[in-house]
Amino acid sequence: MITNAIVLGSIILAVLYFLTWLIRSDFREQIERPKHHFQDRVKAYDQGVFEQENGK
Amino acid sequence: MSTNLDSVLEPDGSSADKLVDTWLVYAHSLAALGTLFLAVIFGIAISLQFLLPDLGGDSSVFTWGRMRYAHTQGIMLGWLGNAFLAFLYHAVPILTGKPVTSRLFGRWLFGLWNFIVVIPGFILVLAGFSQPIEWAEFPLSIDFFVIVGLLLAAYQFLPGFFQRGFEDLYVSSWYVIGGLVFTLLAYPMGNVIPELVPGAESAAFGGLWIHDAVGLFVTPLALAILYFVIPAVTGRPIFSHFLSMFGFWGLFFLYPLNGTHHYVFSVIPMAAQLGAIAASALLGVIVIIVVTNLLLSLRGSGFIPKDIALRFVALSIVFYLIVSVQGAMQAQMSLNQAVHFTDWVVGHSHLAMMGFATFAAIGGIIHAWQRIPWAHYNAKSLDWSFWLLVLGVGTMFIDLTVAGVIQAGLWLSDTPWLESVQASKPYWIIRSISAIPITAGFIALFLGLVTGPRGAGAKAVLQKSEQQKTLAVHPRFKSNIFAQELGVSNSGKILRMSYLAASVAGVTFFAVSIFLLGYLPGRVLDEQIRLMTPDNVLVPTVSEERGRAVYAREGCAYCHTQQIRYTDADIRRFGSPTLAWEGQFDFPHLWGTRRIGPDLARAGATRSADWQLLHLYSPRSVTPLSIMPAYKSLFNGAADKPKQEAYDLLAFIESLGRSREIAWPDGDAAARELFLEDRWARMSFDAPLLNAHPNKTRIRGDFPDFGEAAPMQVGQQLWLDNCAGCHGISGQGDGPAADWLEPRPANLAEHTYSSDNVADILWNGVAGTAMPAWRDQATENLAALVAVVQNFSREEAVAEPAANELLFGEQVYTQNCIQCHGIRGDGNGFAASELPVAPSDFTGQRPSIAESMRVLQNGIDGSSMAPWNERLSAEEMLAVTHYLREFYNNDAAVAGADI
Repeated sequence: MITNAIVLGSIILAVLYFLTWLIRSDFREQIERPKHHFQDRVKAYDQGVFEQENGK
Repeated sequence: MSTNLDSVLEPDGSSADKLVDTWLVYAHSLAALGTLFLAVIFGIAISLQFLLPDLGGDSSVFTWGRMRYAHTQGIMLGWLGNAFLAFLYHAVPILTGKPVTSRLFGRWLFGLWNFIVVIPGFILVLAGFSQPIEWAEFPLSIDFFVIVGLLLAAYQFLPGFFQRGFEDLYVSSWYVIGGLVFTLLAYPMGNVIPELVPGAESAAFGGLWIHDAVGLFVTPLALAILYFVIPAVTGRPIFSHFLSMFGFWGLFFLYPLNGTHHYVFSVIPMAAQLGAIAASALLGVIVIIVVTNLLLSLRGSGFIPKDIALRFVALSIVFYLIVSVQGAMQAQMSLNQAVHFTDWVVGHSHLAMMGFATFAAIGGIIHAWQRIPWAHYNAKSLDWSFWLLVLGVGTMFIDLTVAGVIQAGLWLSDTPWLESVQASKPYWIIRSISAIPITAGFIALFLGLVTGPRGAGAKAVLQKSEQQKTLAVHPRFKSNIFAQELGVSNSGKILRMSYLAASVAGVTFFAVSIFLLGYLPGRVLDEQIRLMTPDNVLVPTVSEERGRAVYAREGCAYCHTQQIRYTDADIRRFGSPTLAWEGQFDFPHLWGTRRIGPDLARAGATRSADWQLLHLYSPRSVTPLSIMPAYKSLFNGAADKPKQEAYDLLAFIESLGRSREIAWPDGDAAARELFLEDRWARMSFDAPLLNAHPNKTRIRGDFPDFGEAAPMQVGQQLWLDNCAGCHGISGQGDGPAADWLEPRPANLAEHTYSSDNVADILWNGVAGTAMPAWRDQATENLAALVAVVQNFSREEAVAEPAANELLFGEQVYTQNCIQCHGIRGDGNGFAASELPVAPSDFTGQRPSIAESMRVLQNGIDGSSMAPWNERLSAEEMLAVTHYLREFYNNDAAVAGADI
């Protein structure tokens, strides 16, 4: 029973997540957004470090 | 440029140096390396003790068990704890766009973590204050401060994440949140609850923590590093944020459900075990998805990335894949029954902590270090560090995995325990040698961070950044523009709601894991204990409780398990599988996770008390091939001068398995009636032997035909490896252990033995003495040993005694000896059954005249044979000697006993 709950629970959650991604294009776009946002931040931070290093 | 930075980093215009407290990155990184060196030194010391067991000398501080505790806690809390904190001080401000809560607060947290948790933790476990719980060895007083430290870390790092919408959180942010929150939940569960619930219940919670420590603390923070460093270095976003979040939730749903797989084939209810096994398999699938995403994110970086931080991270991903697939495999019953408790598992845990987690942590530290403009940086040294660590960790992992397979094969084939120890030694040598490149790698890492020009790391990154300018982020994904475009779109709402629901579900799932795999099995076990416990079960005495504390303090459970598993191999080697009620007084459990020595669940009444004490004081004097460290600090300078702690430990060992043995067979039969439907319980009740320990003495007289003997050289080697410690190399009863044993080991040179008598003794041992049975040896080997023993006899031809002397001897014998030795000299006198050591059987052994006279004059200490020199004259003793020698019958099938 515990095994069934774990396996079924995991599969249901995974399928729901995947179907949402498959059906909703705005969801697909939205869920990818943080990685681009992070990219901006990390680049900007690195640039800030170099500016400090270069005394700008 | 600076305008751009401010607009992207934070609307309030925080600049790089304001954003990240580089001093804390620096300080935690150095603290991480400092504690790493200590933990590695402990690790090297305990690995060398496999080869040089007396390396710790007579010290009570540097014993194997205590250093083992310091090694694992040092790696987890000292090294990885500090490394993760160093990385968080760099990463969290970038992830949130805000500085951490308080820089001053950070200095307090640094002090707490290192000077109240890690260093005092080391000192306390070495001083003997500890918990015998895997990954939770620091004492409860330290645990309190760990929890305070985790609370402070949560306060320091988490607020920034909650000031933006959940839908804006990058996957590393999720892992940081998850790691800190779930560790805070799991740590008290794993460190405190096992102290409060008994035996199997304690193990159920301990098992959860073993996995949670890795799965909810180490893995999330290591993955946070991987997901952070890869895009930061490559200049490209990760391949799929969707997959990364799929992996995140999959891991957090499944990791807490894995823990019980550390106790497969135990008495923990099988439903919980199967649940954990299924979760382990699913986790393997999730990890493959995570790793695929990470590797796709690395595309274009080359097989061996040039950036040293990225190189460490890339290999960490490979290690993560291997260790996770391996973990999913070894949780499955078919593999688990073979490799569990072997070095396979040690290799697995080292690949997890020294491979996956350590490489990720180093990658994170170097990445952050490169961005400290005033820090030294030596790229060449770091390059050396990488290759040395690859060599060392790779060698150790492969070596221990192979060792585990070898050990598993020997254990499954019922090979004598010490043979598996001997077979492991070459692998343990390689393991110790692998410490050389590992240590050199860590030294190179240290040098890479503290030598070289200041700011060299930043310059290297600057060059890379210039190259990456061409890889500009698509304007659509510039954060602010993107946020404005999307506003509070429908998908944003869905995402926010789904994350909120998932967050609640994540914490709920952790609670569910505790309920399903901790609480619920606990209730089943409680019921089993209630129904199966025999009436009037013995409660541990005060001395046994104190002995248990010594056993726990010295880490005995880390070499000797106290759980006979529900497998055929365990039943054959150790006896009936452990039932829940047998550990009902164990707070916390002492089940163990590794068998370097044999299981001790039935150690009571298996060896004599003087053997046990001598084995503690000088293990190799009684067992020449033993690798057990000596515990001389429990004695006042000699094996026969035990301190109270040694007596207490002996009392505890003698109590192991005692209650079941006393209750057996009626107690088992009564419990069996209540659990007829439970096939696992029946497996325990129906085991042919309660205590199958091959060295346990048994009733004499029943032994198999040994058949054809192995070559004499085999017998002689067996003698040196197993018998010479007591009987001496030439069988004269003068081995290094002889002076400490009562009765002394027999002087075989002064006796002539029938082959049946020797076979009987080898098969059944001699109750009441240190002479064990040797049932784990192949019968052909035992036959060779019989020949070796018989060849020791130096008895010379003696003139036939005169008839009147024999008649006189018979009179003396009848008046004084038949009560014990019997009228036919076979040791079956009417008083014999009342004696702790059975009287000698003269039909199966003939002492020399000199030996018989010596025994008659001096008696035998430790037996009921008293000195007769004040009651018999020399003539009487000589006459009775001649008479009893006449009993000897080389062809007799002998019953009785010997000394």
